[in-house]
Amino acid sequence: MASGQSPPTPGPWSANSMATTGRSEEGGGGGFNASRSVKLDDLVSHDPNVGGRGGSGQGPGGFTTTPLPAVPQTAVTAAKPAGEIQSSAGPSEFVKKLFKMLEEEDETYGQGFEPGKSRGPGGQRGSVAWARGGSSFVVWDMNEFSTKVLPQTFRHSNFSSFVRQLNKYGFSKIKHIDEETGVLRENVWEFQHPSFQAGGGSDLESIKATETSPAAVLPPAPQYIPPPQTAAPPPQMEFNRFAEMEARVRGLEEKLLSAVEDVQKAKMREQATSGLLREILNHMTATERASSSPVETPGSGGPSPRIRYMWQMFEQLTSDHPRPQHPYGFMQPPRQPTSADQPGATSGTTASPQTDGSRNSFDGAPGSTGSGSYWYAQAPRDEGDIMPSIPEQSTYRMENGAPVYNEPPAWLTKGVTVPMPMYHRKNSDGVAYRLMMEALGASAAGYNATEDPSEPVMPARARPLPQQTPLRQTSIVQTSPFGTVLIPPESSVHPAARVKSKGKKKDSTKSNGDSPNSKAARRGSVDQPHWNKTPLILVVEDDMVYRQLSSKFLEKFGCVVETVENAHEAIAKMNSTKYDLVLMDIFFGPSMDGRKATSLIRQFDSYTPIISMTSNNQPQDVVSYYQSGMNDVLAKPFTKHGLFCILDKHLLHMKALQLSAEVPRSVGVPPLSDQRLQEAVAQGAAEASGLLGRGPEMRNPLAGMGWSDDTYQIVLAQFLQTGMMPDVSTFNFITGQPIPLAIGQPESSASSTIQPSGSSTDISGSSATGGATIRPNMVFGDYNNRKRSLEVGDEAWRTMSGVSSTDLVTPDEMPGDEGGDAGQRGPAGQQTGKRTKRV
Amino acid sequence: MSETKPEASSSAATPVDVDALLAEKVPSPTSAEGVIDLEVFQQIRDMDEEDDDGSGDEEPNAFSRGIVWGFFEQAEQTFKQLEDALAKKELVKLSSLGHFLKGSSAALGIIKVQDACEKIQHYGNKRDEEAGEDLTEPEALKRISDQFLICIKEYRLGKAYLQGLYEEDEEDDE
Repeated sequence: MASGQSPPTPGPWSANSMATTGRSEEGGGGGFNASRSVKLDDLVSHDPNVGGRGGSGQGPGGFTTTPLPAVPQTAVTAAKPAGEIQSSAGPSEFVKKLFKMLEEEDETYGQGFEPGKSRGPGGQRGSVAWARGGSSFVVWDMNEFSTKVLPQTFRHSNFSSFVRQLNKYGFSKIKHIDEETGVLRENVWEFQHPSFQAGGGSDLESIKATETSPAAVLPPAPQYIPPPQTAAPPPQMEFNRFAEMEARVRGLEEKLLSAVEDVQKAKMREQATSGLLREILNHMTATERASSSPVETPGSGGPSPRIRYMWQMFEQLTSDHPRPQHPYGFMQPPRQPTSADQPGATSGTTASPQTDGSRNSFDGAPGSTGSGSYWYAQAPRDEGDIMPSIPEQSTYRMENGAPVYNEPPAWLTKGVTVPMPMYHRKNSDGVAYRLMMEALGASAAGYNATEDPSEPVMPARARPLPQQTPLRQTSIVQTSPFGTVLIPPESSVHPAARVKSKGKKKDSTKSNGDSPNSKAARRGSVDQPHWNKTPLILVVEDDMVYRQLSSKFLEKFGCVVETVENAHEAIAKMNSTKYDLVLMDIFFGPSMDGRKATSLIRQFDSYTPIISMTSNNQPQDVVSYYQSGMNDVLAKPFTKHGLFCILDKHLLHMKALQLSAEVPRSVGVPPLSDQRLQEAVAQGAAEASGLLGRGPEMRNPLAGMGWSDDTYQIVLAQFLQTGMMPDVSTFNFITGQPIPLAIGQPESSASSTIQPSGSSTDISGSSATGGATIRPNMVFGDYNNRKRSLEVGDEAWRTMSGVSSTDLVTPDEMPGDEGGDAGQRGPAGQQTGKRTKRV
Repeated sequence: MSETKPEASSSAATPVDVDALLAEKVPSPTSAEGVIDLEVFQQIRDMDEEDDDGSGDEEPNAFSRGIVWGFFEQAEQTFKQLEDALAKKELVKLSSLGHFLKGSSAALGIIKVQDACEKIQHYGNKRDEEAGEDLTEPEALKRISDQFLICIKEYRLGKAYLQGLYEEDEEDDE
């Protein structure tokens, strides 16, 4: 028996069978052995009859189109160099062997019958034989043939490989009709080739492997071209190319699979982490609140700047991580996801699941972007069932992430760019995260729905980022789970300006009312500071009046509202969506009241604030509300103000941020810790107390932070006046101009504290251009104190410079309600004392 | 429909015919005094004004009107349910319905309806919260039916007043 590997033999089947068997050893065998969900058939055109039993058996089949590009074949190790693949004189070895095999079989079992003649019922035969008439041959028993005959002749036992060879040489599978009964038999394989005949009538030399036509140049996508009926013997070239291509495709598929897995893992981790982070922050906030001064009034309770800052970072993190990095970061040059365009390049890096999984979770790393986009680019092309859930999720993400992204905090849209402290997410062990995830249980899972748009599938959004302007100036229609929302252009709308432009709302938001809920999704102008992220609020109320009323109020406050009428719906909703706040009626529904509903919800969601809305406010009732896990009580009938106070109190983290976020810290220096800042100011204050009045040559030790001298002096003056640190993050760092100073009225709405009233100039624009007409705005201390916003005008500034103004902040405001800040300020104050002594 | 005569019996729970009572015309009160807490109601109407975008393509008080008319509908449904529950002597149900109507009437500032409903709610629990004493079931039912009557009457007043208010608005608009 001729060896397939013998050099003079031009036949490539040895290589082919190596390729095929090699593949099947990898577990990825195509054809009959295909057990993996590899979408080979989509990628490589393939005669469907070969793989399917009982097919029509008409086409000569084989891989017909889609040649590989004529690139060096290095990618496929199993493939022989192309040089060996050539057609030459003489019958191909495969055909010869096949013929010989059949003849041998005939000798063994023929018992004098002519080849192809019926041997009668029950006649002994081998697993393979010429069919009646000898114009085709039949594989009677595939298993036996594969295990016994194939290895003898072809040195492999892969039937599908054998079939593939046959196909390649232009054999076609035909229906086998039982000789005796005339019944179609499905499990018997019969193949024929016009030139392949029992006896001497064969023209074996004319049986050739199909060859690739050089004219067929790489179609964009694999296409199935129906094979010609008359099976021209295809040259061998073709086969090798296909074998090679198959191998390559398989390799890519495996990589793709692992990449997708990685992305999923990373996503899981990401979700778990952000859930965990949120819990931690919640906990810290709660702890701080609990330990802070009881003097605090409910409406103004707030976390310290440090916690606010952490919330801010968290929100950025969860909203859209490229945001701080790409167009806005000075520290990072805008990074284009270049690798995104080269799927092949990145696919190599994502081969090993573990390391790459963690790399993916390292956000912002090019690898993560790359693999994300690699997957992303592949997904649409892959019509198959490889992870069908992923594209879905990503779409969802995109939609869901969009609101946050489309409405960046005002400071982000401004000209001044801030170096954001990077969040380095460690590529920690995924197991740990999973455990945490499990520990957090369903509540963490709840985040899947709305949280964490920051998984690595970003490129689509990341790419348009560099042109932020159009993004912000066009209205953005987004589909969200609760309807279609049209987000009004953001760029020119300063929070303060928004308040004035109330009337615009309908034009911008009502344009699409097809969804029944879209009314609830109205956002528009609000008499509220714009939220750092639009709060999503669930109202559980059986009373139509309150449903409408509370929805209305909440929409006025810039929230998105969903309403349900009973506790069951509420539980279902909360199971599927993460709300920022729930207003729950204590109704006495037929089956379940608000308390029971709350206790149930608390089984899977321990943190979403649930506010009881009730007209039963007897102490024992209220106690029962808290016992059921509710966070607060809003007495019915409530007023708009009452509702606002509740929002203010429980959605602090979504709103407070604008204060510190509104005006960015300066460029180039990482934010100092408050403590250090205070020390610096305290020291300056100590010096200044001796220097004041001696002229303007005061040293500004914080110039390096981007503080202008004026800013520094204001802070200093404030500090001397009050012994407190003004909240520096709320300053505008404007140079030049003596800073005007006028004592402003306490503002009731935080939004109006952002921009000095009377000035219609957009701070952002001006500060970017160095405009000098802006007056800075100081907000003292923590969030509680934001009402003590000072508008600084000329005269008062002079007054203040003279340190004679006493009405900036009245002393009694200082200590009492500082909450978490007291601890931070204390040391600063003491330091002042110390340093003064030293001086 | 049989006319209801609440004064006919003072010892047993009186059946209340809601439909008949609601069908009675009452003169529209000239003043909100004692009928509507205007302060409460005003905050609903405030929403109207803020809603007005000046385009004029929408009813000027669509929002509050929607709430008010929705309330009418809801309240009258509740009355029917109260009537039913009273006939079946379902105290718990009565209490629950009283609570429900208390809430929505309070939202609109229809104070006397609210007061009556609160009493119904307590009586349904066989409690007299004012006196701080428990009630027997017949006593509770009796008191509930009395309050129910008051409630409907007050409701008619409130409704008449509110309707008058909106008719005025319409006249103003034209």
